[in-house]
Amino acid sequence: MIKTLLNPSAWDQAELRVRLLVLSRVIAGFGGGFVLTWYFTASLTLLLTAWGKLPAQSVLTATLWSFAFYTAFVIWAFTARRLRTVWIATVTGSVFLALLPFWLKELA
Amino acid sequence: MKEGFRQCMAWLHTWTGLVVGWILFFVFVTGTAGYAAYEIDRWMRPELPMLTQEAKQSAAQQLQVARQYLEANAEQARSWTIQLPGGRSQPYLRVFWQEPPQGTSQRGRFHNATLDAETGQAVPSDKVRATGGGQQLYRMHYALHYIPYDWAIRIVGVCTMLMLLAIVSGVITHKKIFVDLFTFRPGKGQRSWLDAHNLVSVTSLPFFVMITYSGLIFFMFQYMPAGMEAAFGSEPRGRNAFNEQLYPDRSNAAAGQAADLTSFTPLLPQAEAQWGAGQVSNIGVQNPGDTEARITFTRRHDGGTTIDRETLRFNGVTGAALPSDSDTQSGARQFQSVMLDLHEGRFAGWSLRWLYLLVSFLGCAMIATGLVLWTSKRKVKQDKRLKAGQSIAFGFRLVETLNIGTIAGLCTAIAAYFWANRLLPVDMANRAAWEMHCLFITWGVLLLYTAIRLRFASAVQVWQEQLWLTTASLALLPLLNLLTSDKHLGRTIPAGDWVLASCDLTMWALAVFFAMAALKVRRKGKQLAQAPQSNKKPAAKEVTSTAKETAAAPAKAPHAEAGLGVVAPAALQEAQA
Repeated sequence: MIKTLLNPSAWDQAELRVRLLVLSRVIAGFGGGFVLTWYFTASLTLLLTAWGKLPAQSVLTATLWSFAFYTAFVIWAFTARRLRTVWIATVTGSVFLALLPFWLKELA
Repeated sequence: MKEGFRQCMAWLHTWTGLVVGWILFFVFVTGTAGYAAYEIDRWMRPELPMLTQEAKQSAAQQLQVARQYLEANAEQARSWTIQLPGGRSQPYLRVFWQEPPQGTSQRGRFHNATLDAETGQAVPSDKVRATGGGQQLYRMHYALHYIPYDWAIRIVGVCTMLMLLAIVSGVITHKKIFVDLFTFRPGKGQRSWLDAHNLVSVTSLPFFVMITYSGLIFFMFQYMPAGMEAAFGSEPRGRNAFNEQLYPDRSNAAAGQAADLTSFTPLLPQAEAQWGAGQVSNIGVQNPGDTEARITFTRRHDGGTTIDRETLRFNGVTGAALPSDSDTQSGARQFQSVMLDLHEGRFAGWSLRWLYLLVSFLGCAMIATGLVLWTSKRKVKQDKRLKAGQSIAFGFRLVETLNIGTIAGLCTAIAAYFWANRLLPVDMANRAAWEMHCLFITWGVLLLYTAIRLRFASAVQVWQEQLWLTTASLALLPLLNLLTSDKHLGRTIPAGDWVLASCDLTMWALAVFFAMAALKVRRKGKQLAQAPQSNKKPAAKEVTSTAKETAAAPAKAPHAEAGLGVVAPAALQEAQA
């Protein structure tokens, strides 16, 4: 297996394509999912605080939810029909959630 | 990924499970031992007395003894804790204290002593052999060993997260989850492994979901610090502010003014009136000798009566009652503490503790059967490769080696830890560390042995050898105990010390389990040897099989038992080539 990997001319083009697609999905699901969950947790914390919860309780609640959120996201990332959808959701979702706290501040 | 929804989930389940399977097996085996950590502690310190009767002193007398010891030895401490003997985790009267922080460090050093309740003196530690005990096994299930703590908990965290994903995707893969509860077709090769894996996983599913999710909760701010940073910043100062807000009753600074600590004598009856005699587990004192002293009585937790940790708090100078801890708990905090208690089984009495042990044993079995299933499924392809004159794929050989060397090898290695406890000289330097080294040296040697042995012998053969080795190392332990200590079955059973007796008896029970596994593999090997040609045809169908093939059991091919990821004919051919 290692020999094949080290010799690009021996790669099966179709198989390589499939493997790269899987790799892309793994990165989007596990890595992108982590980034998304990061901003989800931060935003939920600030939202709950803005809602009137004590900051410490918001932190606890949001962090307790974060693991469930990550699990659900990875599962979704591996079932979504198109890889493109997964990447778009990951990137736009992360950007949106990362900006959310700033809008909250403006509103307050 | 154009296949169906369940195939995607099967892919996710297979690979998340495989990648972290061996670390998870290690975590589960050591964690299972952790449910009996205090019991193993006692087994590994045979110098300590048997526990067959209740202490002669009353709780009030013991409290007095402990307080005198602390006043004499820990006057400057920031906090004291007195553990009254009782329950599984606290066989002896013990005291703990924490020094004030010195220099730049955030926290002061912790000390502890085990007291002789009659004389009031500390039991000298040099009388008892140095050992990591069951606590060390328990600690390894989240902090591993030889690896910096901060790294270790993150490695275990990633594995735990992948396990949660494997569980959820595994559930989705099985559309017949209810039927699986009643499906076991033994002696059907790969399908039997699938059935065994399903049966074990589905029956204890709630436990596995709970144990992985709650495992993440323990270090959740290390794994997902985003919320904490958003609200309190990333400085340690922010973390302190968080703790003060969440646990307002725990944080009270010393005033710096001296004041006499009130007597425990009128407080103890108040706690016992509320919870019953003998129900006080710990008495904690914050800032002893200060005007801001606080006394906390904690209710005994392992009786199975309550899941909540009940406390009573008093002003340390006046003795006046203060509002209780649990009154100020938020929903999220209660949820968190229930999760942590469930994970650790803190409230479990002896009957529930056996259930915990059994279910976590099933957890080990779930991981082990899953790992074996991976090789079992891919065996046919490897056989074909061999027939075509190619060698066995590196990945397959690697998984097979790790499977045998970990599933059987780690269990032998843990037995070796117990052997080392009895055989290493009592006065040896770094004795406790060497007990641990023995565990890992054994595991390493067995992995290496498996890797080399698989080049010359069939997997069936190597499985058998390793399983018999595990059996022998466990079965001989009670005998070793008989020869090296006076706390053996011949004395523990007549004296009625069932905790110590159970340790020895459990070794035998486990030995029987491994012997049965070894016999099963042997039978499989014989069948393969008798009918070498008939095992190719029916197996080929099963390459792509998932749970959906339930109905299509290969009744026509009863001899298609593939056993423990068997590559018998394959390896034989390779050896000849």
